[in-house]
Amino acid sequence: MKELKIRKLGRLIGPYPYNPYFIFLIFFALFLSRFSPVIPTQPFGLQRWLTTAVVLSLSLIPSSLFALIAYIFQKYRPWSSKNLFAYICEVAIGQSALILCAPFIREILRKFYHFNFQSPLTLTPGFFLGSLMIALIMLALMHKAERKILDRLDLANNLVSKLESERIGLIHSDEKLRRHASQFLHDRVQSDLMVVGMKLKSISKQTSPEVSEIIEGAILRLENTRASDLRNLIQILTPNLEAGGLHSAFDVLLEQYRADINVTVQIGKATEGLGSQVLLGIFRIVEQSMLNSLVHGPASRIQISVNTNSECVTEIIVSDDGPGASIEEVVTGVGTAIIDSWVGILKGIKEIDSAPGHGYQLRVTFPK
Amino acid sequence: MRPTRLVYIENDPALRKILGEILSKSPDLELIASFSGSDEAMNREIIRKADVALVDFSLDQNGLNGVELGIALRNINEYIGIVIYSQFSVRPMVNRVPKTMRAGWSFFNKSADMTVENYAKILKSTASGKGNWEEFLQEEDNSQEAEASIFFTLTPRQRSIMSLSVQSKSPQDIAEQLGLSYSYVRKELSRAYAVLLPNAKDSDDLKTAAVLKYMELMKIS
Repeated sequence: MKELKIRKLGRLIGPYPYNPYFIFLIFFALFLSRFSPVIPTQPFGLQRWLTTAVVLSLSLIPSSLFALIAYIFQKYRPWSSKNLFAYICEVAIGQSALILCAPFIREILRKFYHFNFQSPLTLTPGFFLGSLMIALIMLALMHKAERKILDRLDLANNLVSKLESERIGLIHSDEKLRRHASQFLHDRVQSDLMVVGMKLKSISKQTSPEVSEIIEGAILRLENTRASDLRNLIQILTPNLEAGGLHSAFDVLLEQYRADINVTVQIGKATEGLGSQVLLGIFRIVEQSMLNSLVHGPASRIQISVNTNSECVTEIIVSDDGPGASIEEVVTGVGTAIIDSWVGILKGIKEIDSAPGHGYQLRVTFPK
Repeated sequence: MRPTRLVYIENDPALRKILGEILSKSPDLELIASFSGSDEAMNREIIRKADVALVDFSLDQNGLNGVELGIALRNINEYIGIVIYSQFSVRPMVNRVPKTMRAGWSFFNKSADMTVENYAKILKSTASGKGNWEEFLQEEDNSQEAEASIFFTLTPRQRSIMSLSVQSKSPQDIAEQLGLSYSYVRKELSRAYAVLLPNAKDSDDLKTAAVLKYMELMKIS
């Protein structure tokens, strides 16, 4: 948020001095100070009003023109604005051109409007060069300081994006590894155990009742390992969202905690239309948030709700009745980092709320 | 009576071989083809001849899953029975089948303990248009859950404000006790009332009704 404000401010005031608003104000003030002394010299009444209008127009028109030139120059400048030497040359040429124009403007005013006024400042070459040097030094210092701040801001932003993308990369690698492991367990280990069980079953029919009984016992053990232990392990590694959606994945997850904690799950019908990667993100956010509730709580009840509204915005709320803490005291760890990474992947917004004695609530919303 | 014509789709070659051999031995079944994946299985000529398909749920990683393949097979042969079996729990898969298409679908978990007679029974009954999907549909009765959810929909901050409101404390006292501003407490209270009493009318005594509702929820939770 702070970064955004700085960027907005940067757009408004910089890059100095090519900002059209700034140019307009400077030149308007300059022309007005040059031409305004003629107003009090005019007689009261219509003529004085007319003179004021002419002076304002004479200040407005060239100022707007210079602002327009600055805008075009800033947008289509062929060389980098980061080059300080080129920048000083630009300003010097611009200022000189302005001063060179001044006698012509004065001449036009005298000839066509009979305004023969004396400027409060007499323009001499020495005064011009001195003031130009001071202005250039000040501009150079301001330019350098502004560049330094913007460069540091860019560097900080780049580092943050790099860190974020590295964290997202880690999440993806972790998921890939989990997928490979669960795929191996499912395709090879579970399948092979089943084939072995079936072969043993066919052998047991041809053996004596005693041997057959031993083989049946072995098949039973193999089946228990395959259909219960391995299945749960695979689901914990990578939930099979394709087969059963969020409901089924949460059922397996909650199976481990049901003895210690009362968990209620409410999943909206509209979430069925979400893609598998989004569902995986929802699952991981809930999984980590639940672990946080258990470890940092400990809570006795947790409610999980996942809903997608008519504008395709999905909302995840994980709320517990643990001891809670004031928001400033909420600790962050690996679980929170995983949640933050998934929130980043889903381009969502995370909000936490907690109050001492009244639990903890995580709310994540993200668009489709 | 002719045997039931069966198509078997399984990506694991070892299991396909051994179960294929077992199924071929059944006098009630005629295994007309076995395929290793969804692309191979989309053979219109064979599918039109088949009475039932035994499909593994987890086929190719990047292709169709068993339920999707079953739906595709139904589009080729609208009378074909679909039997899905899987290492995963088959219970939630039922919801993946469109309601209008659920007749003639069966689901079961893979098991080495099943005999060829068990397979034949499921396959034949599914081929005749029956199925076991109704056994897996879960009854949806979430009234208790919905009540509890109101309590947890309140944020912890709202819960802390409501718990003080239950003690007859004024918004001013609550603000002082929690170190919050008076206007913030008022705002959170009205948000909490909206959650606790979603159907309240303007004429209702909101504060009393909300306090009573909150006390009731505290008992449940």
